[in-house]
Amino acid sequence: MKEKLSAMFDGDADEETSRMLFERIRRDAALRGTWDAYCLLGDVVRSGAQPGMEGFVARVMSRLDGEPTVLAPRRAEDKRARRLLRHRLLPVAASVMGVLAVGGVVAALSGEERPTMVVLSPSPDSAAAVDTASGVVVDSAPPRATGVARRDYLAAHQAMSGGGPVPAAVQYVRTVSAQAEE
Amino acid sequence: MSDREIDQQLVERIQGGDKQAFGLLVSKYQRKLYRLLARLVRDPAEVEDLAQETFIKAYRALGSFRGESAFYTWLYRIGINTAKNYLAAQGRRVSASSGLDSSEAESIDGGERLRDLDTPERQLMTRQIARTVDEAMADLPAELREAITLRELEGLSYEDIASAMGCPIGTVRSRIFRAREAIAARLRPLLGTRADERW
Repeated sequence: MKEKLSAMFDGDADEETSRMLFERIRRDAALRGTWDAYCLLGDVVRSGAQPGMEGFVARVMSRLDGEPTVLAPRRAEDKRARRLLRHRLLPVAASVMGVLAVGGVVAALSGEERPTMVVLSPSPDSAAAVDTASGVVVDSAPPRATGVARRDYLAAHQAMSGGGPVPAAVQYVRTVSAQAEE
Repeated sequence: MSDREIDQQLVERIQGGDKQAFGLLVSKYQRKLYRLLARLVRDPAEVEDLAQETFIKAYRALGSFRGESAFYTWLYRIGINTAKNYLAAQGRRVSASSGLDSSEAESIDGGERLRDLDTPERQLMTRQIARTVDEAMADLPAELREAITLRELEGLSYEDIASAMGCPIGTVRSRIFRAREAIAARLRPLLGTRADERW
């Protein structure tokens, strides 16, 4: 035990050993005497003559009997708590915040503009937009009838404007030409 | 664990309600504090009273000590303020020549001054302790004397001592312990604290 105390005195003991030794010293007056002697001889070797302080510790300790016991938040526990927070809780919190941030962005985007799937109908003139949120199919393209009417209107307009030598045939020529391109 | 870490562990024990751990700090720093105060105050009886007062104030304030500075630096600051307050109450001022602040606290060597200040009884005890330690050191086997000198005087770590002496760390640990025990055995009769003075 004394060899461990000597080693602790020189900083050659881990925290757990020191804790155990201090607990032993608390209960063992002889070990406290050894601590006193080690302190004194260290002071003498390092600094030469030392003031005689016999009974000084006992006098201070007897004065402390009248003092309330010091109770303060323990630094070691604070440190442990901070270490736990730093090494375990913060990464978890960061992950949660990351997920929440991404989820928030996705929610915001879907709230502003819901994604739509556009399905082209067999006819180039019409398209159907499917609302993926509601599942309702909305035909956003002009009805097929509108395309036919427009083509009729253009044919009539070209026939009336007289844009060529055979005005009545022009519409068919162009239609055939357009079909060839497709 | 470094010296500072050991002190901090003791402080935490006191903060957790272990009053007796404070005695270990008093035992460790009583002489350094005495030498510090003896540079400020001439009367030896007053020096001891002020040393006691400093430790009591430190104990009362320990609840708020968070270890930002080393315990002894903090203690010496309290000591200097206690001495200054005492001198102010006496209508005196700290002499400029003493010029002490906490940064100097570690390097104080008041040996010469102590011999001037102390009572004859205290001077006798001081001389006896110094002679006893010197003789005990001289009587140690060479390897024990070398180990304890490298540790206490040079402040080397066990690892460095092992390297210097060409032996394992375990052997260093054992040699220093045996040296301490041999010296302490010679010191104990001088320290012979009476039963009612044990703490």
